[in-house]
Amino acid sequence: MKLKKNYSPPLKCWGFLKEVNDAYDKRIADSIEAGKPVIAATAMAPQQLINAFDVVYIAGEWYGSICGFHRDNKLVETAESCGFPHELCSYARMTLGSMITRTGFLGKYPVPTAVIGTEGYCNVQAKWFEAMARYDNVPFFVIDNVPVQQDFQKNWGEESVKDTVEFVERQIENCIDFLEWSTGQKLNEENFIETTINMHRNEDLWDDLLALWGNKPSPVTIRNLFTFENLIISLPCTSDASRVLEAAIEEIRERIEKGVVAVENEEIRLLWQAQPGWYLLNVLKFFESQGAAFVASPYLAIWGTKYRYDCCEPGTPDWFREWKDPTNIAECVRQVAIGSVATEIRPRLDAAIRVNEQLAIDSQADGGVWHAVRGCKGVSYGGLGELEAIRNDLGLPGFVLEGSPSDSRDFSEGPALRQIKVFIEQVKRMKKKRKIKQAKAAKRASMKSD
Amino acid sequence: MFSRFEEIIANRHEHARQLGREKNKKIFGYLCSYVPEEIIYAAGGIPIRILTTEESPALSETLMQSYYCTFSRCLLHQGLNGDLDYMDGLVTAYSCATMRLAFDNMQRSVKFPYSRFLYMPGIIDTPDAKEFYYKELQRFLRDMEDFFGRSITDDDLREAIGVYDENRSLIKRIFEGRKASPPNISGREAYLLTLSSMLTDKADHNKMLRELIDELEGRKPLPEGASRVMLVGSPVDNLKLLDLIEKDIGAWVVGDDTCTGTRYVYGNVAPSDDLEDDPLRAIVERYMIRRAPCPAKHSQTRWVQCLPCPFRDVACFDLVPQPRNSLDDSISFHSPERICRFRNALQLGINHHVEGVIAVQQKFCDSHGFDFHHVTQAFQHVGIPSLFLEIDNVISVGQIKTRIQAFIEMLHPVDYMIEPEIREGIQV
Repeated sequence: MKLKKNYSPPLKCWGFLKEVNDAYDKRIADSIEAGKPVIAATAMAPQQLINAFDVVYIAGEWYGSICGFHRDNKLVETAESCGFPHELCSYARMTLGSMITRTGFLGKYPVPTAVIGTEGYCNVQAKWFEAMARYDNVPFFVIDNVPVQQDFQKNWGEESVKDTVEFVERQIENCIDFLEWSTGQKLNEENFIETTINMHRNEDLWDDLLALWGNKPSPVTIRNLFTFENLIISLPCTSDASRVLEAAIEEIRERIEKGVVAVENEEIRLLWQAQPGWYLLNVLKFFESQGAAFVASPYLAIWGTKYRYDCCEPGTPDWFREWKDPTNIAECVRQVAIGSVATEIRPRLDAAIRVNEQLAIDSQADGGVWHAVRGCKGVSYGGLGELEAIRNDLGLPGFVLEGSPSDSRDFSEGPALRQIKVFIEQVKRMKKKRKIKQAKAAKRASMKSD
Repeated sequence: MFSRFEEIIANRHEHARQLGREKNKKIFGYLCSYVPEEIIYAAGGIPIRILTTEESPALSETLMQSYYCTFSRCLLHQGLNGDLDYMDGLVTAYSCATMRLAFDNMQRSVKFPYSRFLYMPGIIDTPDAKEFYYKELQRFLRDMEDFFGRSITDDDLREAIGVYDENRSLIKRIFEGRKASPPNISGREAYLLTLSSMLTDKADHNKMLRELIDELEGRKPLPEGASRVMLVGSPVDNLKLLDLIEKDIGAWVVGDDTCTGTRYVYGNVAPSDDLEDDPLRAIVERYMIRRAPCPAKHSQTRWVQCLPCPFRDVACFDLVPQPRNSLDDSISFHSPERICRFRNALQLGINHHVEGVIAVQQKFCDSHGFDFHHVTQAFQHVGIPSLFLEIDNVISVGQIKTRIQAFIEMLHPVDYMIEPEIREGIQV
């Protein structure tokens, strides 16, 4: 596919980002020789706690995404040949394939010391990691993050939220015992405080970054954002991540001041939902070549705190949104529990719709693209309902792009590009009509006032 | 003998409508076997499980992507189609994101007079999980009281528990006949009992079961010589699969580990220490610990997963220190095999003299999809071969017949490869 180059050059801080990401990769690759405990876990696990131990942490979602970027389809095929169905999450099949073959883009794939999964957002994040633990016969722990109840008919908001947070707190205490037992280390209070504060700080920085991205015209492409995502997926508890994010924010602010834009002639602004197909980032360039800029994403927003708390159920108590730097283990446990529960926006249709609509309004979007990611029931949750709601409530068109996060065999580029082209034309037409309508309404209003 | 059970299944909506009218009771639809039906029953309602039909789930396609299982999309389709318009309420308990999405969409689009999503924890073996679910059910109970406009006493709960326990016990009693060689009842007949039980008033069903038990006493055994297989996996509610295996191919389905079969009826509320003082706690205990778990439920206090299994887990778990919030000794009292789903399924297979396992997966079901590699390994370890079979609401007989036939042809009685001391420990 030959495309008109219609986007800005990479950010200057990209080298810094690469340095930090490479160091993370190297730490995993060297873990076998270094003899350090390895914790394989979902990104939804309490990373503040895991990183408070002297361990090497592998986020399954990150690992699966990089395998997808490298189009390492042999790994998914290996998992399938061992009886893991093709319809399962492709991140999971990539990781399981790496476990079975003990290979991957990092070289050797280490045998984890312990594995942690989560329930609540999506069953896959428990079952995938359970399958990994079973395969290597290593200790396994599951945390239930319990999506807060959405049934407020009886005004049970506070009661329900309180019970939920307390339940997750007790589970995190269990997880401390589990990690101490499986790693042979004692939890260091100072480390836990530091990782908890770092993570909160990075989530705020992530929000700042996304807010700048939504500037009109947008100063960075969504592809830029996706390359930064590992900071908030795998490294959110580190000060390195803070430094890279701060550098990126500063540079993007500069871009805005200087008028540097991500997409030349930004004609339409779009919302993107779900993770990308990591093998199809080229398709995003196609959007850019047509003057379409992605300017907001509920999927990316979930890693920050803003939308997570703004879109809480009505009646959610204030204490749920408040942040205070923790000073001891118990306070860390509480903050981690609240954060875990608050992240569970998606498996609740009403909440997911609220987040989408708010983002579409805030970013002045003209439409949205829902990446229907096969096998990912959590991120796909309610995608079609959201699309319908955004169409009915805000009058914005939506488009479903079928694919997979990592398995390129599930994506057909040719037909997809033709559909995208038609969709972009539709959005442009509708935008034009809206503008005419608005102009007419303004004229009528001014005539009335005269 | 079984035709009245079959009629309920075939005319499920008409039957439920009629029940509501005749008994002047509210009909509550539910989506998952983790819904504590006893509470709805105690309130004066009749819980009816919404099962699939062979109709294409076309109406669900604008709300659920095609890679969510057909089972869930069929339920939503029936809601959108107006098939459930006689229902006064809709309740589900958390099992997986897919079923939750089906529920969320029904709640938004179908508008039942009452609807409630119960958060049944994914963790089932800690006191905190039990306490959390207990509080959740307390709220549900209050909700039911408001909706029905009457208070629900402990006696009401105990009465409902009695009816439900009796139903489970009667079905289990009949299921004992599946252990015999040849079995006394076929797999199809077994599923007729569990499925019809979900679709009618349990008190009426108990009466039907008692009559059936009398009738079965004089029944001739089923033909000898057929292979004995077991179904393990996703919900099976299309009896064509059973017809295919039993009538067309000629094997007996003598056991199952599915939530529309055995998993639905195993594990009573009573006897329970809580039943006298707090029946709601006894209900929590049944749904979290006593019933056989679904693959979407997890242990948080048993840290080592042992595979290949043959019951190594109990020994391994004993070596592991328990976390601060673990259950006390009561967990071992309530038979650990209930917590380990593989052990549960294996024991069932061995007790029913199974020669082969058909691992059924509703296409796109993650919970079962991730398990099959290990389930088949666990069965293989004791010498039981298995076949993986993807299904959806329509059973494509032609396509799967050859596969099942080839699998069944290779089966023979198994001398289970398990240690004598473990074999002795198996409860029959």
